[in-house]
Amino acid sequence: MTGTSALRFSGLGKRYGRRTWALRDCSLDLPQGNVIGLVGANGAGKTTLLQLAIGLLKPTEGTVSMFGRPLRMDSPAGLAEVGFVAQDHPLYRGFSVADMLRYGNSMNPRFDRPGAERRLRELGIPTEHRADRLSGGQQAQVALTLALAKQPRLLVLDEPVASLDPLARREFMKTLVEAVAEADLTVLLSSHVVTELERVCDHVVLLHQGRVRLTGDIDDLIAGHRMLTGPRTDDTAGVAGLIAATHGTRHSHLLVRQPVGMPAHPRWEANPVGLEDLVLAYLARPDTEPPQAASPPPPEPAGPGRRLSIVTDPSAAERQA
Amino acid sequence: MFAFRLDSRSGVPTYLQLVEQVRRGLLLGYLVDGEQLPTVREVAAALVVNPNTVAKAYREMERAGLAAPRAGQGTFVIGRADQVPHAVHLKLAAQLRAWVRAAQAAGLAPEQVRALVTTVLDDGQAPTRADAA
Amino acid sequence: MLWVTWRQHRAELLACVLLLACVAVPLLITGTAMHAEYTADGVAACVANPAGTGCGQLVTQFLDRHSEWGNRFIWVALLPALAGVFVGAPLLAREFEQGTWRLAFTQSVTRTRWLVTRLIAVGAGLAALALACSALFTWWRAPLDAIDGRMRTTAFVIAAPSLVAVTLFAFAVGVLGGALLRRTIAAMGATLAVYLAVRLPMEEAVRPYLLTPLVRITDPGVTADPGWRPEHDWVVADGWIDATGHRLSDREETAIVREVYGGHEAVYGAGTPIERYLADHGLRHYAEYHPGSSFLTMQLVESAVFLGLAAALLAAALWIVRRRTA
Repeated sequence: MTGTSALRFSGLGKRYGRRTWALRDCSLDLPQGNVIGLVGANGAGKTTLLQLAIGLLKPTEGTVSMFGRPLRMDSPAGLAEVGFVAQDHPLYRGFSVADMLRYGNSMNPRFDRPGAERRLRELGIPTEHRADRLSGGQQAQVALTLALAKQPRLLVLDEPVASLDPLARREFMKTLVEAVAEADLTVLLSSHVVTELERVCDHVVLLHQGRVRLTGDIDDLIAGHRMLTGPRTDDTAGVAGLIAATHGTRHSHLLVRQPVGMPAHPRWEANPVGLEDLVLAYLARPDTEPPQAASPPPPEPAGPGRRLSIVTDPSAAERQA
Repeated sequence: MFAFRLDSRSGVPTYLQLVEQVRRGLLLGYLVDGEQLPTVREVAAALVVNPNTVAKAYREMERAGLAAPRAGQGTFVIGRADQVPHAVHLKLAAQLRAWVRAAQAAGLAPEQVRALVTTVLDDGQAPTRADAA
Repeated sequence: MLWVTWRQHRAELLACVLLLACVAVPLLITGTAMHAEYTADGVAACVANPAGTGCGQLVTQFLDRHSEWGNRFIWVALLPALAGVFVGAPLLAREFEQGTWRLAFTQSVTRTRWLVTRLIAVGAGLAALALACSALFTWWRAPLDAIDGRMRTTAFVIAAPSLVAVTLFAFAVGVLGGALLRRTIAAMGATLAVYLAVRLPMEEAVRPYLLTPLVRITDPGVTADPGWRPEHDWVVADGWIDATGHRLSDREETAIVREVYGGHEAVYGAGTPIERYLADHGLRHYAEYHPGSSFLTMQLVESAVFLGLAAALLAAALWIVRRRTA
């Protein structure tokens, strides 16, 4: 993590027609060099956000900046910085895989054609075959290979594995993580399945009904939340950083956001919470405002754009785990 | 070479799972001093996890003194000075198995065995918990 | 970028060339025969010297044999529609329909360059094909045009400047249709409809007045027909005019015809009773016409109109593509 931002959204909003806001009040700072997962239900505004990020859409309000500069998608230099794999990985009908590579080569000055050919060979995808007759997984791999061969600094993928079977998903993600390991690449990918992202992403943005519900480093988020279990408590107003509460007849489960290492009251048993449970809890919150960090202020001041994530000491998290 | 694995249901962050596996590997003698760990790319590809997470795990291993990078070569495990040799470890494991069989023959339930072991350990090591951090 | 354009449109180019070849072979065979006949039968000599003996009959026989086929070239006026429907309309519509626009717009080539390169390359190809078609048809019709001039509709629509300009216009209609409708079939249908809606009125109502026609006033032909001579003028309106300069309306003309012929069938032309009536009443013939010498000017004016429309439509398509978002 180099600390500079790959993408910064300020007050971003997109309205379709006169009333329908697909996205509203979106301010985010996505760190460079990370793999960022954009999670949300279908219709939460994920595609809108991704297309705003790469200039395929123009925002109704707010601004987007990429690597510290305003987004310039009408210049070849701006376009060259971004790789995009659209939903359903469109390829030209009738083009062979080799044609698609040549297409990429003639449309991009920095296109790494030998690298792309090697990658496809390793994946066992024959280049002389028609691209639109390949299996879904192979088409996705071709689309990813094209986007990677462009040698972008930011790779954006819209629901890349939604249409793939589990094995093809794994193969696709493997290609992706290998690329991240090889190059200085920031990845932003969307999905409506949390478990898909948990392993591959280190940063998450949770989108619900066009608004950002939660964002932060995944490890920090997991370390910063815990499930407290104890005797039934109906008055939860005093519980610091309460996110969700479920009650049994004689006991209660409280999901809380608390600074790492903050001692729990002896009557509560504290347990770690998985990302999926965390996401579901935030999605179920009735309020439309993005939740603020727990009331006891964390010792470190929250940096700009990271107000929702708690900067943690890994060793403290380790002790807790 | 050491093979990592992941339990995605454990709720433990991925990087901590990786660190913990190296720690256990050293404790149980699967890993020895100077042994090379797989590269970040290899681990990321094999487990299909974010390379940043693997790198974070390796940084954490370095911080905890479990491994150290050698320029241009990769990351290597650092064995503790007081690490028990593998042969000794095997011998002790065999003796423990024999004792556990004897305990079972005497009618102790697994729970009772565990409680007994814990009690003995607590009695003997209470003042010196050096390597439990 | 040029390779991409070639790869995306090579099938269309091949189809066009094949189509042209299929038309060219029979045209070359029949055309060669007709050209030979034109010289061998002495029609060429008659065109050079209309006063020759029996020229009227020779030319009439020649025209009887060939002008039916020659006039069928009027269908060439629809040829540009093919360019619009099968090349122009899918150019953008297919990208939007198949989702590949998201691929195309995220490469390191700006949308402007992407579209302009394709429009220029494909447009140039279509222009070359139109030029080839025009050369072929014009060559075939050369003997007929030597007799009748090139101002008649059939000869006019196959001439190079007009055919090229109209082809590019049809292409532009297709491209814009694709950008607006984003569905190939819908864009094809709309292209054909718009093409016909512009082309037909252009032929019928606009072209006769692209240039101001000349007016010719002639005395009634009381004596017999002076014989055949080549006629290259294009008469766009004619009728009778009186001494005060008043042009008779249709109603007035009908009244005169009824008065001259009563209930009998009317006959026209030099030496007929109607001509004598006109002479007796101080009426004369008038004709609004474009002389054969206006051919080139008129071609250029019409081409400029269509090229201007094409440029405006392509600019609109470019504007849409630049603004195009999900």
